[in-house]
Amino acid sequence: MRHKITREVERVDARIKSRGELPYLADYEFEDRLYARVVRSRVARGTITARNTPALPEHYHYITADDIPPEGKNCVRMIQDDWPAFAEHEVRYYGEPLGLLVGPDRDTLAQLVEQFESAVEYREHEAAVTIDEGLALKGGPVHGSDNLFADLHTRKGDPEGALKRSARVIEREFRTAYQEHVYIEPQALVGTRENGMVTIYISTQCPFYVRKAVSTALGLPPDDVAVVQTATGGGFGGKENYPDVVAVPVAIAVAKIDRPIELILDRMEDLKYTSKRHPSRVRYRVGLDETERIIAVDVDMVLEAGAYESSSRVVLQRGMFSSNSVYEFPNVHVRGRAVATNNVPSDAFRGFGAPQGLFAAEMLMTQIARVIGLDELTLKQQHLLKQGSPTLTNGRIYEEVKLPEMLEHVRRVSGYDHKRAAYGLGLGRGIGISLFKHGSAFTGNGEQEIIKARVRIRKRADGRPELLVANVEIGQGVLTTFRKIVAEVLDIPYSEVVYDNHNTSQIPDSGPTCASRSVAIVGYLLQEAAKKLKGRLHEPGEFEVEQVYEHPAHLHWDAESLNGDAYPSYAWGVNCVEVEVDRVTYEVNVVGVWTAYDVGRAIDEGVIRGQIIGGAIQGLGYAGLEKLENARGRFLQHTMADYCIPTSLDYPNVDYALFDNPYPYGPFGAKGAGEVVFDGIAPAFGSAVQQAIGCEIAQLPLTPEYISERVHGTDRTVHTQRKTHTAEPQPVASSP
Amino acid sequence: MSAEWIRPRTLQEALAIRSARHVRPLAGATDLYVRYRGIAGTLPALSEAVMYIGHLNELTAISVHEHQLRIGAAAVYTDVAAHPATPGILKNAIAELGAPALRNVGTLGGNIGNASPAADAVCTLYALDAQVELASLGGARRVPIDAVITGPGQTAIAEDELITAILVPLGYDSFSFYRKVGTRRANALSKLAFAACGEVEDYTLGHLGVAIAAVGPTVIRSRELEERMRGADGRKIANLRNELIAGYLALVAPISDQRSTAQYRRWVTENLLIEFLDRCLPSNLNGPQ
Amino acid sequence: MRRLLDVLREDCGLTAIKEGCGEGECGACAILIDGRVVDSCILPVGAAQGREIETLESIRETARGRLIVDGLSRGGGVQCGFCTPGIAVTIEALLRENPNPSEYEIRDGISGNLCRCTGYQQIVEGVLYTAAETRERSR
Ligand SMILES: Cc1cc2nc3c(=O)[nH]c(=O)nc-3n(C[C@H](O)[C@H](O)[C@H](O)COP(=O)(O)OP(=O)(O)OC[C@H]3O[C@@H](n4cnc5c(N)ncnc54)[C@H](O)[C@@H]3O)c2cc1C
Ligand code: FES
Ligand code: FES
Repeated sequence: MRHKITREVERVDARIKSRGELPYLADYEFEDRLYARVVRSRVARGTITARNTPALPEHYHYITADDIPPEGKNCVRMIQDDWPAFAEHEVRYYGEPLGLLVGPDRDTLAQLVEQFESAVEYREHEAAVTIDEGLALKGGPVHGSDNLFADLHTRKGDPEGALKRSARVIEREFRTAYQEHVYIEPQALVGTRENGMVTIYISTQCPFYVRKAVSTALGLPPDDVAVVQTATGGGFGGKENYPDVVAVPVAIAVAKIDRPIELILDRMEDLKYTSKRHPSRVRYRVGLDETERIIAVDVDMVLEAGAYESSSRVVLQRGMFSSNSVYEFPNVHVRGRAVATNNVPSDAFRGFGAPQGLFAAEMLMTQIARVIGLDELTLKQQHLLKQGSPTLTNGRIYEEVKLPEMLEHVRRVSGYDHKRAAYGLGLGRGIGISLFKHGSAFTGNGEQEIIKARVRIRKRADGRPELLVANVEIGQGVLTTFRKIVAEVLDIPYSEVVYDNHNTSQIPDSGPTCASRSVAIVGYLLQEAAKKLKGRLHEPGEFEVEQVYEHPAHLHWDAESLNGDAYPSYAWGVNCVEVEVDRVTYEVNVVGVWTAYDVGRAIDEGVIRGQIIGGAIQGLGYAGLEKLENARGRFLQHTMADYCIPTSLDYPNVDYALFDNPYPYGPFGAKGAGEVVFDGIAPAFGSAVQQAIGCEIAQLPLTPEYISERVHGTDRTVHTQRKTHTAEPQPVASSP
Repeated sequence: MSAEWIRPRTLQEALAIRSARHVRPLAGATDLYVRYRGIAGTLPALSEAVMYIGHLNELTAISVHEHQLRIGAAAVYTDVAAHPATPGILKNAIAELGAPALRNVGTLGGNIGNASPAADAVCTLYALDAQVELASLGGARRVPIDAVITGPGQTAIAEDELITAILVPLGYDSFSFYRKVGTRRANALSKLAFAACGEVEDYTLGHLGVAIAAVGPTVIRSRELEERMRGADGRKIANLRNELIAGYLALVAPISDQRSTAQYRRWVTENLLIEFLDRCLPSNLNGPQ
Repeated sequence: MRRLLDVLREDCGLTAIKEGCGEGECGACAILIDGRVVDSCILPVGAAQGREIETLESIRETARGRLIVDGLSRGGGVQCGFCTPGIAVTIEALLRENPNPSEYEIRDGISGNLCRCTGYQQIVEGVLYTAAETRERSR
């Protein structure tokens, strides 16, 4: 029986959006508005030797670090303060902001940008732009003495000893590349002064992050800055921290010029200069005993962080904690490093490190299975986590693990067993299954120590409840799901619930809209707050109830040793992808996608379905289509024509099933769902491609070019990491 | 930088302007307005005067004369594909070119004028043995398409000329083979494209055109290799196969760029030649077996 | 010559359509010219001289326009909504031409509209609904 809250309702924002009546940032009118353009560095790494600032026409301004108030600081505060608002002497990446041009006419600004950028002289230094170059300190360290923003370890059991004892050691290396968010609305904001306060209207996932960054840079108390989220045309993590990077320079300009200033990134600027998903290199050494059970796993994960730290340390942690996927191994060591390079800082992107870790872990399992002559799923099932299992950080899986029945379901609806057997190896067809999980909410004690979420519900004079939270709609449906949660508790229609205030001056900080935490964490707080309100809706006048986050008492975390319960709960998934690889062009045709998820309880099946299908298609883009290469610090695919995201014709319909598994600390039992739906597609695709081409794959994206190299046996990356006692690659079966 | 916009009323007027001064012809603008695009609210960074020709009836008409289809240079793709006389292979190429909104404005004249080595319609026009009608005040001349495009972004169109029409011989496609290898399934630019078509009579090959795009500075077509295939039956093609593949591979000179690699382009060209010679031609020369 | 998109949005205040890319790739700026769908971000305004322009502002008030909105809204065809106006306009052009499109024809018809949120499936279902309802009501 489905709980009635799962029943799909029409999203509250669907009609106004499809009628084109909802204004986004670019649709607002501001009186006396000026426009801004960023002046950027034209080298990836260098020392500025002369700025040669050209003369400005009347009514134009050039804002630089010199315009930051003395109380302020030249930084975009995220976790650290290392990312400057404007580079002053050194530039660390191509396109790094040097200043902001502000003025009334956009054509004039375009000419000025060209003049200003070309006037700057640099002493150029050798740039490090890949993981390997960063680790090798090419051109000298970009950051500190070792180029590492983070070098973390987590350990369980005795991995070194177990590896020594192993009868067989298998080694593999996997690499994943950049991915660009391509939210269809580019980064956009208007800064202005309202009621004496610097006020930022912005397309963002995290209005309080913007407020923190702006108030730090201006040296103001946070309450003296207001941030208003405007309807946001997609985020996927790309509007988690990056809006700070555009907001701070505009805020500095507003503080000086006192006029509304609009900065909307052109698509090409957005593609070239905004943050991407972290590229990764993950190496494994896996020890098996005489019975071919895995007894030791040693993981070396490196993420390419780019020029400044941004959220790389936390992304890295999630990546590390995903590197064993859904398996229990008795002895584990994971080392994780976030390496500095001369590229735009990498940052949050749906999955937040987990897709990199899960891809590597799931591909590893398929390849171990092949080496020891076992069926992939059999090997995976032998090591599956279950309720009560220890996690790789010595925490515990508290919830029931429904993976076995989910797997059973996916095998059945996809026809996996029959197809897997029938398609043979290297004959152009393949089918693959991935198993995975995604921890809901912030890693470790983030919710408790850093966020400390707070929500309020106001009982308005007209009797309607109004939600006061900082979480925002970015397409994922919170405007609808939050209303449903509260309406269900109060037993009123969800259309009665008011939820339209997105101004940081008027709402409490319930934390950012990310980490699959909105429904799981904030939705729960709203449910609890609504309970306090229940029965009081008829009381006269206006009043508020509040709910503050409390960490469930059974959860423990040691941030130093990365030990304990890394996440309060997990969403679980099983994905199956079937492919055909074209023997002539090496293009991969996806024939079918079947999925099953345990997201606790769906607050709205329509919303969850939207996440599942959208996540799967974005995941397929990551797996096979979206190629973003970097040469000398510049992205080669910087137009929408060249950075290809999926169209309506690229992939088939996605089948899904939900497995109810209510979680006691989630609203009506809900856990996070926004990211797990992305995480598992790439390894399922990878496993299917391996079967179709009859050889191992070791990277993302699996472009036709890469596949052609594998099929012709010319790709070196896979072979070089092999030790003598591991299996040789399978013969190429589909050479034309 | 507000470039001048000129809107002639007739083709004659357009040609007169063209002979009098330097103007940049513009039809669908899908190449020019992307290449010179600025950011929102700014003018394209075009410094030349622009002469719009997309509205000229003389240039948008499509008609059939004897054994020839005459496609106005400014006829949009949607109309070209919808015309009953348009060869199937050109329809196929158009169906995979851009997306509906692009096909509603893009033109063959623009595809030729742009002279990209990856141009899809142009590739098919090579295989079809199309001629390009170039007109100036002094009159019109007809030039084979491979003589119009001389290099990447370079054409033999004179300063005072306009492309007025594309002339496609009819009946040259009793069989055809078209394969676009794009960056994705739709709305994609070509990593490479392969177009071939011709006639079969009495189980032997008559006229034949084989064109390969995006593997060299211009679309590759070899009349010499085609000549060797002329008159061949299935057995002869099988005998010539290796020689032909080697011949074509000697002509292609692919590069690595943001869309693909030289190696991939070479391998796929080879595979497509094999498909064409081992499957497509035999099935047309020997009949279904 | 200015882009038609700028003239429509900034001079005419027709802000239903959006700019997603400015290079003709995403379809967020789609409008109809003489009944055919066109990306207004790469079209010089002079190319529209003497031709009929329709934007979502007019389409949404027609009988089919309302059904298009219904189709997109009912089944989850809208998430962040930024691509949606362009998709609604494209659907109108598609259904004018072909009132009974197959799933493939719908996918082909909207292949110039990039949506990063939905994965398209629910948009396609929405168009099937709209097409069926339109045929039903015009009987
Ligand atoms: C989103 C998108 C997708 C695309 N997809 C494809 C694709 O799949 N395949 C492909 O091949 N191309 C593609 N293109 C490129 C482009 O659309 C085509 O090349 C199209 O045919 C250009 O036609 P146009 O009329 O728009 O050209 P315009 O931009 O108007 O002109 C292009 C050039 O030709 C010249 N020119 C135009 N007409 C004449 C004439 N009559 N006489 C002399 N010179 C002339 C112009 O001066 C200019 O130099 C795509 C473009 C975009 C924006
Ligand atoms: S904005 Fe016009 S197609 Fe993207
Ligand atoms: S709904 Fe967000 S891009 Fe389509």
